[in-house]
Amino acid sequence: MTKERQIAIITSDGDRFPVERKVAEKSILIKNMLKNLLPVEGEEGEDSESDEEDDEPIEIPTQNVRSAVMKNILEWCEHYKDINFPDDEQDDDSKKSAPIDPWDSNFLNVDQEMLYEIILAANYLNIKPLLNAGCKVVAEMIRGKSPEEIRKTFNIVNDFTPEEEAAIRRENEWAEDR
Amino acid sequence: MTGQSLDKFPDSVLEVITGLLPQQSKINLALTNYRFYRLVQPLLYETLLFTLSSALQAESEFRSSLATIVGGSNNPLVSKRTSRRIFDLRQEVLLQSLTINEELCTYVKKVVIYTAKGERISVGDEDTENNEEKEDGIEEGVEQIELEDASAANLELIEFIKKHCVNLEQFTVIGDELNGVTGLNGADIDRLKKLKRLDIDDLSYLDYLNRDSIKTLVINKLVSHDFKIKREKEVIIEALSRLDTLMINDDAAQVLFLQYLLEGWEPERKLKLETIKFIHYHGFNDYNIISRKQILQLLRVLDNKSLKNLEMTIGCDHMACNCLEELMDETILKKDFRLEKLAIQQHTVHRDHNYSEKFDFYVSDLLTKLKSRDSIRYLSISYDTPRDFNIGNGIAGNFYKRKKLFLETLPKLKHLETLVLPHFLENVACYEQMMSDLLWNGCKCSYCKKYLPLFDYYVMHHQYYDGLQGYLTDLISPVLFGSAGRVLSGRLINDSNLFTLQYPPLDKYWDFHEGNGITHFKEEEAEECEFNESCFKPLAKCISHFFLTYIHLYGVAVPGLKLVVMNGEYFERMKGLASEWVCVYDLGV
Repeated sequence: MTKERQIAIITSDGDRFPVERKVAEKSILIKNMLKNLLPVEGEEGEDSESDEEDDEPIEIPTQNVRSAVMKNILEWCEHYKDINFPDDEQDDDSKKSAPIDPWDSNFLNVDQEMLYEIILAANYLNIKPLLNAGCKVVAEMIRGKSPEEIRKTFNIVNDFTPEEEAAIRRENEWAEDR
Repeated sequence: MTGQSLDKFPDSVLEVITGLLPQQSKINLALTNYRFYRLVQPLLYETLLFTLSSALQAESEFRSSLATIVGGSNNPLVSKRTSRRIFDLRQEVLLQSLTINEELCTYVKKVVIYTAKGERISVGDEDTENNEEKEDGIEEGVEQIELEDASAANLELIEFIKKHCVNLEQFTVIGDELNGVTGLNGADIDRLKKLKRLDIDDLSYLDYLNRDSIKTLVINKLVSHDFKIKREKEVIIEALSRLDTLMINDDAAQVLFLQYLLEGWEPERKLKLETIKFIHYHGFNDYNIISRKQILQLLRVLDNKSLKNLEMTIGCDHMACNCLEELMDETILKKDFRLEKLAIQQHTVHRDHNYSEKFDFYVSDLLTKLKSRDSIRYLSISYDTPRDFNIGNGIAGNFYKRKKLFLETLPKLKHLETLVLPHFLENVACYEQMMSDLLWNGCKCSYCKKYLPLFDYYVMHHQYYDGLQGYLTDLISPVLFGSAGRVLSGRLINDSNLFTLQYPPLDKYWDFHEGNGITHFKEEEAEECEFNESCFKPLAKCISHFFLTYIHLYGVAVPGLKLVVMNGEYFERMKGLASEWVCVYDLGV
């Protein structure tokens, strides 16, 4: 009741990251977990079981995220901890078309593998703004590349026969830049 | 080269990524492998926008992903005929693809057919003098007749889509010159069970509002003023109460619709709309007095808690009348709506500064008095200007007065994020000194220094038809910049000013000779004249520099402002960069 209970995130490789609640809550997954485990004071459902465990920090295991990635994720959450991201669907289009925030763009300027892992972690932890920023970075990498260049950059195996490829080209030909 | 495979990502993530790509990149990704093909196709076919232009593209932006454009050529220098031909061919191929692979039909959810105001969709005589056509291998004669009668879209394809794309959620036709392209008829509406938005041009179709999926009703100019609604009125009112968006685009249709709706309305009953668009115009000889009364009545029956987005076309062409005050005070202010988006469009038949100042006054008054103005995040103000940009009292001092009022009002919207001014430039163009100042003493950057004199040369060597005087006279700067402004604003799709950002901006060009009877002094000059579409981008860039001075003022007035759209130029605030505002499509210095 008096002091906030500590929260620690445990990564897949066993590292432990103590975090502030509002930092951790950037992840909707963790936020919802905490809502059940640790209701905010003053809110409904305050009948917390017993007082004895209150000093024990709450540990949140994240099986899919390794420590090097979590370090980055938490840096992002820390940066945005005081910013509320409204999750109204209404303005989806304008949010979608907004440019990448320069801070995010700098933050995501990492090697491709780390970028992928950050995106996967943001997806798993349900951190929409970070997921969107990551996807925008990947989208920019795809932009302006030919199919062959995309395959090379992203290690995609061509499983089409030449005939299939030609048929698909023909099917979408009406939408090609001319 | 040694990149990680995109294959690692689950479909949900890949869909987000794909959804951000412009159409050519979507196509390229679909060609890489089967998994991506399956992922991309639904997104590529989801929103189809039929228009003669192509998508406006920039190096780093995501708006072009909002729709797949079935359009003309993206090369501004090909003739209108060739571009039209490309548009036609695209539609033929699309029809083939949809016929061969029926699954593609199930992906189509939104179809918008759009012709910009004043855009000539059919290409007739005026273009035949361009002999370059022959090089394109187009056979003259037969072809030409076909093009002259051209519709806004391939009618066979459009009918095919209406019949086979069973998942259609929206089918919208926008424009004046459509030549046979029509919206959905009763049978279509009946068949398309997933419609979310219903656009009608006949009030009889209100009968089809009988399903929960339809959340948006758009009433356009009616094909006939007679209508027969078969179902009982109570049932229709029930259905209308389920809507969350009602948009009325035509004055006469509005009178008929509201007459039907409001007759015998129980005072306690409220319409729980989230979005409304209406027209409140006081015309010359009071002919539309009923219309204004209806609007006041309509606003009284709106539920004030649910309404979030308001768009109104307003105007009062009687200088001494205060009907706009009644609209603002009696209804909007009294109701205390908590608006998030507000769009106000000016309507006037006058060509005089004083009517614009009157409009400004009421807009400013509304924004100042609105108790819940802190909730407004989006504001669009659209001005009405005469085609020749010639107004009475169009002196610079008067414009400065309006600018000052706007800058004093803007900071009152503390949480404003987006400001859209679709006709800002045409509006300033009515003040000749402002435009001449821009042309001769404008931006001092090296780019403008190089190009502005070129446009000065253009002004010196062209004449235009002054409709008020009735003769040809030397071209003036307002006609140059006003015409450019009109073309630039054509980048924005004129569906609703509330939802400008739902559509990708279109690539538009001006040939420096269209509109206001622009010609040369001598015929020889016409042959030598080198001003054409290729000069338009530099002009747009000079204009964007002119806009930047305003953008900076708005940015200071509203620190939270993130995006300003002026005449189809998008300015985004880039925190942490040297130049705080960036012009997205015509990059500044």
